Amino acid sequence: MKPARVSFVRRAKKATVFAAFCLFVAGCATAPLQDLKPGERPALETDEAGFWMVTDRIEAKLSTSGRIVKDPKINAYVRGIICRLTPEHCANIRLYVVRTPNFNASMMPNGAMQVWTGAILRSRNEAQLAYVIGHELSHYLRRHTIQQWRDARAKTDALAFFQLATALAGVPVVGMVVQIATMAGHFGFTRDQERESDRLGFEMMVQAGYDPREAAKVWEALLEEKDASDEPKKLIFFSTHPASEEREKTLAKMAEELGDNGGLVGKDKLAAVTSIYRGKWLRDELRHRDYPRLEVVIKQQIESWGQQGTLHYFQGELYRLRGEEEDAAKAVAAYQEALSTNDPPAQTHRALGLVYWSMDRPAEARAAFENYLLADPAADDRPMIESYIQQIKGGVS
Amino acid sequence: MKRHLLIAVLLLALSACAQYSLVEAKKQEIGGAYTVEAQIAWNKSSEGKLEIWTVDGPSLNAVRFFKGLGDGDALFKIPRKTKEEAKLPTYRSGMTPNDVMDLVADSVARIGANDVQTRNLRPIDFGGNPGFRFEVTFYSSDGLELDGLVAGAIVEEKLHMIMYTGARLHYFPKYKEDVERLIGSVEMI
Repeated sequence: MKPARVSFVRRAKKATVFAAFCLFVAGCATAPLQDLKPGERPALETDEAGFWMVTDRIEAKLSTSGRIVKDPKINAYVRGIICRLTPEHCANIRLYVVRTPNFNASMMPNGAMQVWTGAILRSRNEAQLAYVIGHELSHYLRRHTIQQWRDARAKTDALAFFQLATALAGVPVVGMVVQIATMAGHFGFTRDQERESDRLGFEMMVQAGYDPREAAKVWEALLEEKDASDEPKKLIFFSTHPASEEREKTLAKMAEELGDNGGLVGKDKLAAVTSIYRGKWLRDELRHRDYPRLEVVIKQQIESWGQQGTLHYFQGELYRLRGEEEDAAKAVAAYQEALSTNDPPAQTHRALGLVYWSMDRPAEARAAFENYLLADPAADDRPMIESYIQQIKGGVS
Repeated sequence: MKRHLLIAVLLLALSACAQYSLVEAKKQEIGGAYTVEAQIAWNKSSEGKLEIWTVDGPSLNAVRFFKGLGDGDALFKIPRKTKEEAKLPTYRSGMTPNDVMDLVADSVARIGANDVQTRNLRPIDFGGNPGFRFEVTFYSSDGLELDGLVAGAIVEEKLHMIMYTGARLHYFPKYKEDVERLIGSVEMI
């Protein structure tokens, strides 16, 4: 009788492990949620309502932050894109344009959307910004946060059961393997949601009449920036949106299949609203002194917006502030490039003077300082610049 | 006795996050670099090597004394968790007052301030040395509007500087005149 019992235990063990494993593999994903309806709020007793409550609090804090851009023109412009992408949900979405020098946009499950000025700065036309916004809207409309939460919970429940069952059957090591698999499953699911949002964001932009070929270009530019960065983690968008050439290629392929739909690119439209801020936002970027990244960003800006005085001025500023070997010469070249345009900022002369002075070229420094005071007679640092000129005249370098 | 000592040490350790001492309204020495004439009483604390004086708490008003910064020194210290600290701009000998103004603005931005703007850079006498002063405005991460006044000089390639910041509403103007007199009273040691 003994052998039969052993066989039964073995069979029971096998059956338990197998059953639990099947349960784990098959039972983790919860039923897909319906898309959010316009104006829909989750019922109070649900876990989703809990998420909304928490994000309502985060939103309240965000709304009084010092980083919120209040300019009605920019807000109306970005809101216009949201409404064009999703007219039926537009009234229920609160937009926060956040002054932060980094590429990012995000959406809370309660309908609060953040668009960082770093993302607007890097958008080379309205279609690109629309793709980014559409992608974020998709996370909200598909209720990805709550879907992920429920799946995570289902997985944890299945895991607890599996561990109990396998422990009872005397195979505790399996628990650890499953734990790792569960975690891997989590990340996989997020990527699926990302893919879904890529697709939906793309469809939304096409539906709204934008040129679909611009979507892939967003990733292309970001990947170039990421590759240049000596600290890629600082590109916060990538921490929640794993970047890959695969995503870029998928979007490019989808656009190719559609062909030229005559959709809106909207380069001038974007520029009309945002160009007055370009200098301010580039200064924000520069203050963080992540030079390799910024070098790429400025190069992309010049490629996109042409030989603008402001852009070459900031290129010079980058080299002047970095101050590495040969940077002084590079700064001089960039400032001179700026001065050869028809709209150089007056500060270009001052910056050029500072660099020449640091290079021990006092005559050129003095000329540049004098040009600065001619270009901006009311400059608020006039007394300081005049003192520099006096020092140079007196032979102090 | 031992137990009491232990409790005292523990209490001291617990309260160590912000220890203040009284600065009397008289001539005060700043870290062996220079002296200033305090017109009112302040509360003194420190942020790393930095001496900081306040009346209502450093987020409402604060005077920071930078003394003898050399090549490669950053203005502030932030916890060394990431490479962020390496990214804090540093002082370099040979800097002009304009460069120092950029250094201050970028450093303040790096530690969380937003929309940092500088203006009115001009030459002054700082403790008998050719110095500079300028104003700065910014928002704290919580959205509080702050004003600042910075004055200093580079003496023998070392940067000496006094930075006064305060909430634009009430707290900055409240002690601005006292700080102006502090700056006017600097004597190098």
